[in-house]
Amino acid sequence: MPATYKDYYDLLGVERSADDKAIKKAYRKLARKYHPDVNKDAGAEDKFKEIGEAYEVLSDQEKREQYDALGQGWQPGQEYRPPPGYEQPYSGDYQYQTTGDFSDFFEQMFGGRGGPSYQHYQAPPMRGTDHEAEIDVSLQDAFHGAKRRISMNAVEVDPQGQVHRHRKTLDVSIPAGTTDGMRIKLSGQGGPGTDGAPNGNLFLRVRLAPDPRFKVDGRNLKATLAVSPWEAALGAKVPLTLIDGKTAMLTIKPGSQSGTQLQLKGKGMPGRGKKKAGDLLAEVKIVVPKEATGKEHELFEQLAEASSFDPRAA
Amino acid sequence: MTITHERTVTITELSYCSGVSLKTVRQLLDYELLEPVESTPELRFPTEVVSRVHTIMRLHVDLEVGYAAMGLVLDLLERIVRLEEKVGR
Repeated sequence: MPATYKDYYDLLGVERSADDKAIKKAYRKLARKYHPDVNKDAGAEDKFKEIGEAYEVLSDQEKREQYDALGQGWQPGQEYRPPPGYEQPYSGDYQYQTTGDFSDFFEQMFGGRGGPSYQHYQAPPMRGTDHEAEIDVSLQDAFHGAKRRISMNAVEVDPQGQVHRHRKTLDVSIPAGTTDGMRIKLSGQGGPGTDGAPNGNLFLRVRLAPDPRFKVDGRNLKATLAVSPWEAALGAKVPLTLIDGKTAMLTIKPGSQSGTQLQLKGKGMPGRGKKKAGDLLAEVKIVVPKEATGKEHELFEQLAEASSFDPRAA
Repeated sequence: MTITHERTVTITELSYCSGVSLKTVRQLLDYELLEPVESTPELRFPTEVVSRVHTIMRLHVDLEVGYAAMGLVLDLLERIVRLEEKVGR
C-alpha cells in the first residue's frame, strides 16, 4: 500500500512557522484530550497515535527540516513516494526496529530500520531490571568453590496483564574464595528487557553460614587453639586442622598466655582477582582438665605448693 | 477469604512485572497510589496493581502528570467510568 502524505502541522493545529514552544503546547493540549486512558471514545487511540507521530517529527529539528523540505502543496491523503535514489538520511543509533506503530508515510520518510521507535503506548526499549536474592553458602563451599542448583519463584505477565508464576531452576557456580556479602552475578537472569533490550541481571548476595570452627573476618579466619597449661608453660608443638583439611604444626612458645594470637599467613580464604589470600589467626586458649585424675591432681597440688606465681599480681 | 499468593505479587515481583524500578514502586507507595493487601512478612499487592502501574506510568510519561496529582486523576477517571456505566453509555 502506498504511503499517503500526512500534514503534521494540521494534525497539531499549528502554523508552519510555529516555534518549538507552540508545538509542544499544542501537542500537550491534544494529548490530554485524546489520551486513551482519559478518552474512551473509539478512535481516540488512533488520534493520539497520529498526534504522537506529528509531535515526534515536528519536535525533532532534523526530522522537521526533512519534512519541511517536501514543500507545501501536498494534500493530506495524497500518495507519497520517496524520490528515486532517495536515501533515508536519518540514522539514529537505535538498535531496534520500529514496531509499525507510526504510519507508512513516517516509515518512508524517516526509515523503518534504524528509525525512531518511541511509542506512546510502550516505554522505549528498556533493559530489564536487576534482581537480587540471597544465597546461603557454607564456609567449606566458599573456600573450595561449589556448584549449586537453586530454584526460585518467577513471575511473568502476559500481554493481557495476567500474572503467571512458575518455578525457575538455575545452576549457580560459587567461586572459590567467596566472601560474606559478595554478589554473584547471573547475567541475563533478571527482569526481561522490552523490545529486544537485554534482560537485567540476577545478583545473588552470599550469606556465609556460621562455621563451628572458624570465625570469618573478610578473608581472614579465626580459630581457637586449645592448649594445656603445661604446653602453654613449657612450650610445645601442637596440631591445628586448617580449613582445607590439612594439618599445620604450630609452635607454642614457653609462657604463652590465653589470647595470644598466632598468625598463619595465607591460610585464610583463598584470594580472588586482585584480592590476596587471607590469614588464619589462631588464638591460644589455655584449657585445664575438668576432672584431674589422681596423679594429675597430685602433681597440681605439688605445683601449687612449689610455685610462687601470682596470676593476679599487677 | 484468604488471599492466595496466586493472586498477589510481592513488591519485587511487581517491579519485575510492570517493568518499573523498585525505587519508582516505592515512590508510588509513598504517594499512596498503590495499596498493599498484606504488609507482613513482606508487602504484597493484588495482581491487578500491575495494570494500574502501567496506567500511572503512561499518564506520567505521556501527559507529564506528577505523582502528587496522580491519585486525584485516577480517582476522577474511575469516577467517570462509574458514572458513564450508570447513565448506560
